[in-house]
Amino acid sequence: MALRFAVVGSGPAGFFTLKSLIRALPDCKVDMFERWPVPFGLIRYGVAPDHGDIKNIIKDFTELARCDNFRYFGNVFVGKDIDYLTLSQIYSGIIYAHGAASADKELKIPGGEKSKSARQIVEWYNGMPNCEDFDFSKVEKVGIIGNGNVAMDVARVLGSSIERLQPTDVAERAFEVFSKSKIREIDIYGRRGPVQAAMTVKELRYLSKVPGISLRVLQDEIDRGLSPESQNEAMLNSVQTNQRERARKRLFDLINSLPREHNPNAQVKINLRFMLAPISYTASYLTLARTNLQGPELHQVAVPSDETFKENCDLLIRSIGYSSVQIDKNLPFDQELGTVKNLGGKVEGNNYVTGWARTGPFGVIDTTMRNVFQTIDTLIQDIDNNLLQYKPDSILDILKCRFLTFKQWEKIDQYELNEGLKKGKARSKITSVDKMLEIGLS
Amino acid sequence: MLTRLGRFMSSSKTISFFWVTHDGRETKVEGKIGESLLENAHRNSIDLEGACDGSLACSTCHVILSESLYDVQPEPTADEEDMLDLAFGLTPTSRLGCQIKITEDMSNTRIQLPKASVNMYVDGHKPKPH
Repeated sequence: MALRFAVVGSGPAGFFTLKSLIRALPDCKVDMFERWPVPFGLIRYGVAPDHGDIKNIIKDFTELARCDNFRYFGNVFVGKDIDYLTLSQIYSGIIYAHGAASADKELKIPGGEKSKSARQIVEWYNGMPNCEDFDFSKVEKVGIIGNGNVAMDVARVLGSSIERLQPTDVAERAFEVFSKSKIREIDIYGRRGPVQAAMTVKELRYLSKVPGISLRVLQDEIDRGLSPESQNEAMLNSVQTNQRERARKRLFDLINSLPREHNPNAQVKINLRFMLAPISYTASYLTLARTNLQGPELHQVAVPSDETFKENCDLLIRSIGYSSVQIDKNLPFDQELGTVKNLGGKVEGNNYVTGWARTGPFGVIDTTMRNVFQTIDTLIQDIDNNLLQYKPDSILDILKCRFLTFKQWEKIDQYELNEGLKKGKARSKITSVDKMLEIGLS
Repeated sequence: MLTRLGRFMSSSKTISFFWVTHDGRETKVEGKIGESLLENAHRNSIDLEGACDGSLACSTCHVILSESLYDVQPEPTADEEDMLDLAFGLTPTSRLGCQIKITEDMSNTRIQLPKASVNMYVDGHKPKPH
């Protein structure tokens, strides 16, 4: 008998959970369930191929996974292969860390259904199995609705030369499409102004430095966004006194420092546009309305004006957010928020939630880490109050589907790295579940 | 600056200083001149993450320096500032542990870890449309 925990999901939230559990309870046992055969969730399928730096975290996770307290169950879909109530019976505690990258928000304009999801494009170029295939061979001009970090990633990857992408772990199916790309120009549209831009300064700076890409802003759109309330939001005219103002001001300064004209030698031109709301989309035209900001400081909304115009747009991408989905009918879920219902990370009984399944898709890896700490604090309090029970090891008697251990994943890992080495790539990702299982179980 | 760093890099000297966790617990450690605060924390099993391995892609190794120590550090680069923007519980003397090298100035100083978690997202909050 031991304190046995199930962690659902093997992305950053799942592995930070493992780390926190082992640190707080060195004798506990942790089983991790992952829907795909291969681990690491958003690190593998969300982080852009040209963001090798943040993928360093895999080293740390791999070391953690080799500890004796831990077992990995790849290819086990919680909600299908094993359910909420069963997990709740056989484990002392269950921590749901299955993320949010599942359900897309719709673009609610006429023709919006013809737009492509940025999240799905990311999953496609990152090699997620069972993806829609994309073909950009007839695309010269792209429009992206939304200016968060996912929009930055997609614009950067779509705007990159094939020489730049070749050495990365970009999926080969995407690389082939990119090598025939005719994309020349990308518009990134924000409904509000530069002070309310959704990306982090780090991602914008990265985009601004990519060789071959020219990034510019339009002066009239910057000016239009600088309502007195906006200037106050970033304290543009005085001293920033808190972290939000500091971040807003630094982001605004970077946006405002971007050129107003394109470098004529650039291969791909990217326009970072503001104060524009999409109105409708037909064939290869996007109709937009200039917006005005209304409402009080920090709560300004973009209201479309009567001034409309058309932009060429062969491919419209929506990057306006997504949410989690209910993976099991008994897991308490807030459909409106798209998150698992919880208080301080506690769902009910011995069930907990953390990461984006708890908060929705917001923040960076540090945010997720702090969020995990909080959920685990809540769980530790429950242990202190004798609310969690010691349990025998019974998962292997119950689980009927084929699953992969961490050692078996490491065989796949080695295979992908070797194949990558032959092709001069950081990794050659396998994109078929059957092939993953074949190599892992061989 | 170069001569100062150069002198320290070549020495195998050590100093003592303190890690202070968010609940005020102090741990006295030995610091090798020239190693980063992140490396030192890991060597001494201090709970400081370093998710991106010092590549300036995350802010999980956020530390808080004393004012006097902060003032003698080389200025943070724009890349470090970009990550500090996203750090939890940023203070005026915050830095990233992977970017701060141990120097003789640190002898007997206290390096503070930030608050472990912040209720940034109140559970059940409604996202606002824009």
